[in-house]
Amino acid sequence: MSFLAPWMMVAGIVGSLGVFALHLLTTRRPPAVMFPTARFVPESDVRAVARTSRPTDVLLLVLRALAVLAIGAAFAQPVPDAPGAQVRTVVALEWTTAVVDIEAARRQAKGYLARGNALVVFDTAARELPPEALDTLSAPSPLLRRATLSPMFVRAHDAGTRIARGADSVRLVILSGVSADGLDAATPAWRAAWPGRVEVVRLPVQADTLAAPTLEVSGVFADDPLQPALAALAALRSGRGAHGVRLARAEATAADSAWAREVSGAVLVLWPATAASADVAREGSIDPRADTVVNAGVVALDGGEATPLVAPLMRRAVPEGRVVARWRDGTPAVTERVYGNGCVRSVGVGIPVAGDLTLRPPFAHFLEAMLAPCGGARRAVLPDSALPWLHAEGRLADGPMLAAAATTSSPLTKWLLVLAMLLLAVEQVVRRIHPRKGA
Amino acid sequence: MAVGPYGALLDAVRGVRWPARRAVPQGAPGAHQARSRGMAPEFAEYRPYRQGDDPKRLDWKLLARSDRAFVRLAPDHATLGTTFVLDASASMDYPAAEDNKWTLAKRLTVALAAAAHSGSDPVGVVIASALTAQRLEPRTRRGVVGEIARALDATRLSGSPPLAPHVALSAPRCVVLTDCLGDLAELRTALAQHVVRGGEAYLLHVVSRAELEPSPEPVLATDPRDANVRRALMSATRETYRERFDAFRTEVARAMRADGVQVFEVIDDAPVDVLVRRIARPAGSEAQR
Repeated sequence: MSFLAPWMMVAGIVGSLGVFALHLLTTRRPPAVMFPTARFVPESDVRAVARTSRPTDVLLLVLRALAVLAIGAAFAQPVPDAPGAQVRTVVALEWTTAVVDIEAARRQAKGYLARGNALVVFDTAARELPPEALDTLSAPSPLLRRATLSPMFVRAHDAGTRIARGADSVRLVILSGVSADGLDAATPAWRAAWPGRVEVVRLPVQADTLAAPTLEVSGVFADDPLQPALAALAALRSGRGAHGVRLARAEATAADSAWAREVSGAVLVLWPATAASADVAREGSIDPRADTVVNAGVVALDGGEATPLVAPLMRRAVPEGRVVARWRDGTPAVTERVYGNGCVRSVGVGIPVAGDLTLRPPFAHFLEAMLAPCGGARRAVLPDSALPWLHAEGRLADGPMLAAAATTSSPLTKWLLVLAMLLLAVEQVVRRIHPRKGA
Repeated sequence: MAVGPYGALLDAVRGVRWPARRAVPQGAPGAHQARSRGMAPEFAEYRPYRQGDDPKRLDWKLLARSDRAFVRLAPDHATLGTTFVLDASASMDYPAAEDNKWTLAKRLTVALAAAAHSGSDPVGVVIASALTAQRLEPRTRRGVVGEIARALDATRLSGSPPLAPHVALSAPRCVVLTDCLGDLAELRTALAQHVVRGGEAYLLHVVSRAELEPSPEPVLATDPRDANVRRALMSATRETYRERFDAFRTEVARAMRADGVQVFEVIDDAPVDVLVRRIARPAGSEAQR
């Protein structure tokens, strides 16, 4: 048993001692005696504080002291200590498609886990799982290639504060490839929020190159505005990438689907070029009288890594899946779903024929994301020497300090308050029965 | 003379005389110098013979030598009647112990009466009680001190009786024993008038040590003269009480002395024989209080 606010418990004990001390002081009328010169005594309150050597109303004293103690304990918020060893571990496991041997990573994580430990699985998001779930973690398979550390630190901090009760220290073990795109501006701050050293176990991951993928484009029409952008992309990048991409500007064929299903890492991008097709979402129009939907659209890549596209884009419905980009109102603009060994990426963004949108840098970034490998691109793995701040030497996180940072409330608080109320009610009854004693 | 418990005290003050502070009116022969001249053997002065003088008082030898008629005068001595006016109010019965203010007043009265009676002065007493005012007229007969003692011992203290009316009816030497908590203004007036009439006035202000230094225990002080006066005497009020009581005693002494009254503050733990000697000391030979 430990307390979220132990100083309140101390205050409760001091308060009950104060009650005991006050019981030794009684305010009563002093004994009346004949005093001939009483007229020279100044007028004042005839009650006087007297001190006794032993408390006279033990029952009242006990009730009052217990009530104060119960109130102090309620505000101290007692919480039962979590079971487990004195040194407990939070294991943060990267669960992405970039990890070369996910089974080995799972076994490695299992080696760290024991009773009372916590498991955090993360990609671009993080969630805490019971350690027993590690055995069944192979399903579902990882969806993303990227893993970001900030959400992992947030979840690991929560898990650490939860298991820290009753522990001397808490260890944080991160099993991750730690790539460059896994860090963001908040990562150092979240790392600093963890009050101890961090053990980083680097997992072997597939690092994607920045070279252009092997790209096949079908269904391109004569004035397709995507053509100059594709040409510019090809001119900038050279060589062959690790994955293949098919960009379908018309309806996907059975051959395209078979290719995406069979070829490992294949990316089939469905980006219909017909702007006025029937499945254009009309509800997104800002002008209900218009026949065609021309939105002052803003499309941002999910994660906000690149400059959003701001142009009269046309909105098109996309199937459910991992959201790659969203419209301004949060509606998915680009989704991706696993399909066999590859994936199918549906792009619901209609590019206007007129204008130079496709030649501007934001569109180049957008196009890069559309042609990225399944699960998103993953940048280079950072060496250990680049991350001294991440796994700095030092002591493990202090358990009591970490537990004190928890914002959880005690389930016993309300019951202790109820107990205090009951004690005070009984005290009232006892005082009414013995009014002189309660004075 | 049956004096009961006062025997030791009377032994202690035996031989003490209580001379008048100034010449007394003409009266029965006594120990005090009178304002008149008499026929005593001691020569004092001559006075021309006036018609009506007793021829026996002529100094015949002087008449023969100088052919002038003179009468020989000698200093006269007279007695001085003394009345003790005792305040038998409830406030004098403090503290509850045996030696309290009333006990002191009784012992002082008996001792001073004995001192006065030893000079052949008539002594009497007025015991002003709320029940009844007991009066023993000043007498010189033997046993009067014992009578006074018995009367005092039989007195029950109660109420807040006035003292001033008894002063007007007292002998030329009036001794008031009181704690000054009653009709103080009227008493002052009566004593001043007594002094103006040529009498001697003594005020023995009886104070208890417990009044000067009250107990540190908090008490609800109740005035025995007026039950409506109930004050908490505790640490917070004790110092103010002392200041007020000191100022009261000082003011009483100052005002009474201004009227020609001999004022003595007597405290209940003081030896009575010492007090008697101090009170009975001849005029001009002591510093009062």
